Amino acid sequence: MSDEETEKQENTYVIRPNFQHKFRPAAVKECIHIVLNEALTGKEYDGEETAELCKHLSNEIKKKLKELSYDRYKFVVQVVIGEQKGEGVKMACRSFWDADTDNYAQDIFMNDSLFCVAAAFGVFYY
Amino acid sequence: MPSSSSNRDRKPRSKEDTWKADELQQSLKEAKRDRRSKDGERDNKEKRSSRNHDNDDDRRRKHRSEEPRDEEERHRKHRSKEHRSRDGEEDRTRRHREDGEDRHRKHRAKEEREDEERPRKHRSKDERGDDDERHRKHRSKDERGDRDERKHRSKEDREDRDDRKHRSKEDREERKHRSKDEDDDRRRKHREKDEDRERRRKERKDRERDGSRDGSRHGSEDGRDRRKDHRSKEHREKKHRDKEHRRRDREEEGEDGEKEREKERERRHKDRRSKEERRDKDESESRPREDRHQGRRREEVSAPELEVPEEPEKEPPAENNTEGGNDDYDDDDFEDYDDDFEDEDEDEDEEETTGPSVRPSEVRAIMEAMNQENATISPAPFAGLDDGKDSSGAYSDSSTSNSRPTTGKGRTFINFVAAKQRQVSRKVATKTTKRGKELMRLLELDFVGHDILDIPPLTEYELYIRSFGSSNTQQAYTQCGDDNIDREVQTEEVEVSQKWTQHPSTQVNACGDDSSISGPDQDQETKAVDTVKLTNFLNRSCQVVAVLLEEDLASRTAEPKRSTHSNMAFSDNMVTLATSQLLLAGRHVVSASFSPTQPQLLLLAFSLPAQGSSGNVPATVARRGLVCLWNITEPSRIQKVLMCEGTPTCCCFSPTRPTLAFAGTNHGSVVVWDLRELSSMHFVYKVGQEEWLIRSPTYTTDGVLGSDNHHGPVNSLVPVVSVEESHRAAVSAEKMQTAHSGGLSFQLASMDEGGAIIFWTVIEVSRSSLDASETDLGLTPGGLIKIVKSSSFNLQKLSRKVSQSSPMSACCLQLHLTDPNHFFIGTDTGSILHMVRHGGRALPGLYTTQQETVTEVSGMDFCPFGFDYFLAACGDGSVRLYNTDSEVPVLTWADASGGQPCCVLWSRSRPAVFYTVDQNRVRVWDLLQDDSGPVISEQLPEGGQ
Repeated sequence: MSDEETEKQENTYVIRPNFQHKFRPAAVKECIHIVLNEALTGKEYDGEETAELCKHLSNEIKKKLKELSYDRYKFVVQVVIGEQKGEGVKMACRSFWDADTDNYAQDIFMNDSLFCVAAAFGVFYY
Repeated sequence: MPSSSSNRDRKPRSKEDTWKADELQQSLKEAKRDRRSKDGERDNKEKRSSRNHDNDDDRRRKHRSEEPRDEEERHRKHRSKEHRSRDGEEDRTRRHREDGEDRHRKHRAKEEREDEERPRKHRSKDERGDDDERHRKHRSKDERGDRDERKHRSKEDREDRDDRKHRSKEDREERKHRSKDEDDDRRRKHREKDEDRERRRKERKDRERDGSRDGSRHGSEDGRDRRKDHRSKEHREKKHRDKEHRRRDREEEGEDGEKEREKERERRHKDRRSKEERRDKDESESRPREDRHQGRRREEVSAPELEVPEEPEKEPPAENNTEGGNDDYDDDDFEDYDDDFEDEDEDEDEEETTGPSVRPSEVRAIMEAMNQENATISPAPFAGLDDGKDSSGAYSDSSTSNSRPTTGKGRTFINFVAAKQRQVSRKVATKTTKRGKELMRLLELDFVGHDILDIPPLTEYELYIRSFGSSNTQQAYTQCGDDNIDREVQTEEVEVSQKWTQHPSTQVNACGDDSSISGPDQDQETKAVDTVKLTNFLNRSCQVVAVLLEEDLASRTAEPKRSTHSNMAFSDNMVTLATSQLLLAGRHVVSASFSPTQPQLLLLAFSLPAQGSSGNVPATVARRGLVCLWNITEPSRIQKVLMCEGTPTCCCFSPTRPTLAFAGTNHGSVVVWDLRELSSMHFVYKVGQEEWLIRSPTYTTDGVLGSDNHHGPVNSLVPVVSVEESHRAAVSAEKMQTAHSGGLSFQLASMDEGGAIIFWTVIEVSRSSLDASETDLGLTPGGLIKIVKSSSFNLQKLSRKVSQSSPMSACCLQLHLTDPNHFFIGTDTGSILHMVRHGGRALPGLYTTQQETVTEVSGMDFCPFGFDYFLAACGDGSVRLYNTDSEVPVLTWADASGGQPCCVLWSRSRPAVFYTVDQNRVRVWDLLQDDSGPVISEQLPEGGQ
């Protein structure tokens, strides 16, 4: 019986998201932007707080993303906060994924004392 | 055999879903057992396997006929609970029996066997006393033994009961069968009873508690055991066969085994839970029944003797029952339970054969083996999973005995959980890998790299600006580009030059431009002060200073001059006017006139320059006549140079003040110069090395009057004013200082050669009358003096009056000094006409001579001292002295000098002295010294005219 079931499923694999439910970087970026601005406006860099803040932010962003009804997506949210001291910073990511379905969005928040980079990766769950 | 056939029937149906999991587990267990057990125990193994088959059968059956059986089970459970709380068990069993009978009647067609079982079970309670001893022994290690015994007993009871009570045909047949071959019958029954093993188990629990009371029933224990052994062996063999058959089936289905087992387990769990619930619900319903059971049991206890003879025969099925019970455990609580029970079963079997003395060591060995086994299975999840298994544990409590050893229980849970997990994970893994493989065919993955953040390092300057750049600064305002617009228009630059004109021109030129005027700058400066006062002051003081300077110069140079002119006997000295300037080169003096009020001022009228002598003089000047104003006290300098059209023939000053100069020209025009005019109104001409300010006439009659003007050269020009008046006016002017306003309105008489005499009125034009120059073309712009013709006479008319037929030309004009109404005209006929401007006739009208010779009158002069005498010089060289009242002269000096006097002048200081001038001589006449001839006759120096 279970064999039959899988055989049936074979034809019903969803390998592409609905167009409405596709991961849209613009919308996600907006989402991230709002979260970052709310949390970081007027904040000064404090090394001790930062770890907590990062966790908080990434959870916030994840929560928001879930509300966007990307029903078959798994999310990875990465938040990095650093102090602005004039050094150059470079961040990059490299992903092995299906570019048709998977995508990422990132937003940067900067003020005089800190910079914050939040990247959200949406990976389609087949 | 109906039961076996039913088993067979059921197997194929249940193969797929129920059996495989269990079989696999059992096979695993067997492997373990192989490791542990010795060769001697193989029989047991077979038995067990066969039992397992039975158990499986039972389970299957249970699932299918859940409802009815559940009810029964529930009853039993409730009963057992009540048993625990109550003492009278015999009553209960009896009631049970009755109950069973009732139900049996209802469900007879389906399951009569169950009915049989119950009575048997109840009956067994009667025999509990016999079992007691053994029961106790077993209890020390494991209470299952007791249970087995109890089951045996119950079977015996049941058989008895069957014989006694069941009247149905089937029952009867069965019973017959049984009587023929009791073993077969029992075996069959045993199998049938497997269905109800659970039920019995519960009862057993109850019984365990009551075990001490039932101890007396253990009498026939040994015999039963033996029989049990025998029967169980047969049983096992048969089961083994079945099992092997099933195993083969299983192997066919081996692949699906795991999955099916999974499902089955879940199903079982569900069943258990639902059973529990149902049990709880039915608790209340079952109580009354239980009461009845108790009653029944009591009855059975009261009559044990009936069943005793059958006991030995019934033991083997009871034994089977116990095994079946164990199997049941297996079924319900899965493979690990199986292990435990089966081990114990083996123990039991061994016990029964070898005796109780062997048991403890074996038990220990088995325990050790079990521990080892458990140790191999990961012990880690042990503690954590204990809690999680409570729900299933609760069920197993209710379905199995409460008195089960806790260790065994715990172990089973861990093993179950771990296995389940493994299976689950394995299943999931296979599923996902399969899915993954399929999907990978459809998908393409690729590497994508993104730059997430790139902040360039700050340069030193930026860092500085960031930290210090904004200090000490403040943004006051921001400029946006709105008002920062550039507009540019390019055009050719306009060339501008300023020209100006002013009317009336007051102090400066009436017109001009910035570049050509040098004078205005000075005028601008003078404007700052009171110009009127300053000019008045300067006019007067300059004259004084100039005179003083001149006198000073003259005093130093007087001697040589006088010496040079010492030949002039009548004159102490003389002044030579500097007429040798370049301006006057080539010109000679035509006329001279002194100012009546200021005798030092002299007007000299110059003729046009001779041809070729005016090389250096500008053409405009050279072609015009000049009139020069001299101050006698300043002989070296010309005060003012006046210029007019034509050649001036006569000139004169204004009578009261020397502010106006008049001149008559050979064109017949009368010209007026206003000497007060500013120098800026006139032009400067450069003559040689010197610059001369040459004044143009303020008013000229040229072309203004047309035919009314003179038609010939003007030879006399006389202001119409009496000497007294003029003196008075001069005095009053000196006193009143009203030079500007008064004294300028007077008349002027002019006479041309034709004898026409015109009287002019001199008018000072007020500054405010702007139209003066526009209406009167003779007036220069800015000029303030004009002359208007008031009346005119013609000598021809006058001569007719005096009855002279021949035409004559007028030579000179003289006015009566005290009464300007009378005027005298010398004619070329030698007679002098006396005429009056206003009123009748003047007497005598004509002054003549007694001489026949006709000669012209060249000059006349009145005595300035108020006497009515006048002198007339005639062309024949004679000088006549007339009284105005007589026609003939008083005295006549004929050819006194031999020359031809052209001019005669009365002395201003001595009344008896007069002067005559002819071509080259000056004669002085003093009538007091010598009335016959001139006192002094002096030759004029050469060159002088």
